[in-house]
Amino acid sequence: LKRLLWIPVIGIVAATIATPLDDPTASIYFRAILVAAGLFTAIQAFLTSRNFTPNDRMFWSWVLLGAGYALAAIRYGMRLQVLITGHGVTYRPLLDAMLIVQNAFVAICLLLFVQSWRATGLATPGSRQSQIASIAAGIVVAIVVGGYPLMLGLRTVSTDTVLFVSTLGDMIGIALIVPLTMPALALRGGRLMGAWASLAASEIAWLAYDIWLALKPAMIVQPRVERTFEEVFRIAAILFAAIAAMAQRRAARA
Amino acid sequence: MFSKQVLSTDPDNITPAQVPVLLDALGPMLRTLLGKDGAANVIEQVRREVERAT
Repeated sequence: LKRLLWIPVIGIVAATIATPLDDPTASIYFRAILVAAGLFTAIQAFLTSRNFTPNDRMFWSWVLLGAGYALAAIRYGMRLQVLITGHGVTYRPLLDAMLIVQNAFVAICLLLFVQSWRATGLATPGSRQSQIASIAAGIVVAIVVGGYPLMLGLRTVSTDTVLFVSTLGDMIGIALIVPLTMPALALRGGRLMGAWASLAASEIAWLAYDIWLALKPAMIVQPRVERTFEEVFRIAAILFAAIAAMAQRRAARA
Repeated sequence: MFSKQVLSTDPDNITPAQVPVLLDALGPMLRTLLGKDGAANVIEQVRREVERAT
């Protein structure tokens, strides 16, 4: 895993050094990084899915992860095109539909990862009580972070399906941080640990992104710094998913 | 866990003769986590290590 960590680190550094940039250069720069990171992650996930057959849950986990980040890259790319050329795809229902499908793909993929682990019958560290307590704590965090936006989405579900589905997807991901971390702890010292730990790290970065978005209005931070934080969390989340896929392939080659 | 389930013994007490039975039992779990080829690689690697050690 240590050998792969340089990938998200490069992404974070690339985002951080752009802090002094002004718009529209900054927006174009960050979008370009997001497109590259999304495409890279999608390719890594699709390559990893080839280790499995369609009868395996993990095949669909990696395919859905790849499809989710491919959609994200396309969406970021569309926005980038508009920023550079001044025209392109701006049809809101299409962009919203892509965001909804992307969130659904990633949430389902994470559920499949957790189901795959359970199917192995392997034990996770800690007593049953401590496992239940940590899973419950993860769910509470998910409710705290996503509860308010979810209620808003529910109240206006007819008009704001995007907020509803996006928040629900985020909440599923956050609630699954603990179940994704447990296999990493159970596999510590082994090569496969890197895949599970990176998946959990990706969701932790998305959690940090959501918390940052929620706290942003109350923070007294320069707009440029604010934007950099936002992009750092997002880029880290995407690239940790990429190194999860790479770590999975390395483990299978061992 | 697998050694207890399949061989009713602790991992430290497994004999080389019991290894093939244990590897067969580990197969489905390894296939779930690593895929068919990855699982075959790991099983082959363990088999080689055991042969070298005995």
